[in-house]
Amino acid sequence: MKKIAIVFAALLLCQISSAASIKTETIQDQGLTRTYHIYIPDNLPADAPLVFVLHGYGGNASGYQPAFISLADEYKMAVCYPQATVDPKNRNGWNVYYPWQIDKMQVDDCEFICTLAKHLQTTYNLSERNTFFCGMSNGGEMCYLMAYRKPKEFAAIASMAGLTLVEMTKRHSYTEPVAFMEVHGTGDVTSRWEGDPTNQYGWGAYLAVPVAVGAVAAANKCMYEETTELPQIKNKVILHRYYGSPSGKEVWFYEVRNGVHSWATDSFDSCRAIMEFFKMNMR
Amino acid sequence: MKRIIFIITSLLLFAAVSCEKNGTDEGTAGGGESSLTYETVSVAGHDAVVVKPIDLEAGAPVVVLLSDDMTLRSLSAKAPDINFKAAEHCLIGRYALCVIGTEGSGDVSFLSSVGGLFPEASKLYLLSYRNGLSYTAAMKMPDAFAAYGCVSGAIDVEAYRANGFQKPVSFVHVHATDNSVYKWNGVEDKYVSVPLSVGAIVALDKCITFENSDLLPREGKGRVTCTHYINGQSGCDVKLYSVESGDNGWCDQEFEVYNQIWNFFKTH
Repeated sequence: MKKIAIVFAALLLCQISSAASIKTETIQDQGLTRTYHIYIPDNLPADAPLVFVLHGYGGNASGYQPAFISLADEYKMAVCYPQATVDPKNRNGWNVYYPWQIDKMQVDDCEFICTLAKHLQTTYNLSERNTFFCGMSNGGEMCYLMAYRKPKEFAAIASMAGLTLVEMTKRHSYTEPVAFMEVHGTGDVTSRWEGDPTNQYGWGAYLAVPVAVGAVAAANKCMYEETTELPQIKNKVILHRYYGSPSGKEVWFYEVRNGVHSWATDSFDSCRAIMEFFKMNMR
Repeated sequence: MKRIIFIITSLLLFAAVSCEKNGTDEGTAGGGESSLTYETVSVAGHDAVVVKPIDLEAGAPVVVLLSDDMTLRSLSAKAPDINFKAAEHCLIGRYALCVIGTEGSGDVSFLSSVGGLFPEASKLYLLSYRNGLSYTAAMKMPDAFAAYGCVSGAIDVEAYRANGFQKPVSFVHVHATDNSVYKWNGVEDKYVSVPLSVGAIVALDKCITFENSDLLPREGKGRVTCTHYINGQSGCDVKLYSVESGDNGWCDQEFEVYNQIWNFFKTH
């Protein structure tokens, strides 16, 4: 009996010691020490894809959306959770031109993410071509900003409940087609489906979600649409697939009927959908 | 005696108006409170018919309708074609309608000659029926018309591949969701999907949001929804009428399509 227990304990220890773990690291960028968490699955092959996952406003990278950890093992991709800095409202936030950030927040988070991507690609021998980007809410806004500013740096971008602020449209134009995905609840009262043209709700004026997604589809010159209703779990989820772009870059738009401001995991496996979208867009 | 003269005069006038209403006079057609004249013209080699109210004010606006040759022949022959309804609306809107046959042509350069036909027109509007040439024109000549419209058409794929939208335009689109030719979701290598056609203009105009409104449904007909894309940073706006029944036509059985299009045009 003792022998069995010893063997079992040894096996357990062996398992623990070989299991990959999330490492917390820092990098210097724009005069700031930036923190991020990186997960490299065991036996990850060289030149494996890298996925960024950005938290929302006031959020924290530590322990954020753990679903991507097990998915990273399954899809054989590295995952990085960067931490936003403290913004002028004294909350953790990505600089996406919220009214209180304009002219007061100096950090350029798009540049930071690109610098971090290069650092991780070099340090962990990850793929430069297959680096992907996703984020929720404030992190979702970063997705649109990244599509405007750094479309070539990422093989695909996926926004969860993200927005295009009017300020972004004033400062930038889409210059390159980009594979893009949006998941959004029609009942989201934080990042409203119908937009907020007059900044009634304080986040700054922003586009209606279908208009924002349509702008990416138009920039890609997508020509056709395929509509699919997913098997219903809670809220009805409709996938609008815009395709036929000369570049081959598609736009996938998950409309979650009556969905709220969330990852919508109660209605479909949104994290897996993101990973599938990324896998589909491997270069 | 005065009364008798007045009655006889009234009767004569009534008879004259009735005669015109029935389209029996040479050069008139249509119905309504006044009568229409029509004139066959040529626009850079394209056959065209100009329809207008007989008493149209000088400087009235002109709607240029790009249609198939069948429509044009029907108009020329004064046949009771459904498109006469479109023509008759110019009595209500007080504008001239210039119907140009465009079947089989993706070239819109001839449109640059239209202005010369109507030197006094206050505004020129462009509408395409059963084709997407108004989209092509919006790409290639965004300054030529005050507003653009499309009924049962979509962006031509080849035109879209070869060109892009350069300048904001105001646009109205009417489309049946069950259209079997210009399918709502597009036809590969032929027509762009309707939402993406409209979406291309919405993006171009930098519209911020939209308002949905359902029109009063007609008995036995499907729902008609108007999506109005507004707050365009360019000052332009876009309307999409999606019609749940109907096919590749005017959708005039479903709602007051001519009024709606004209109401959009005249605000631009």
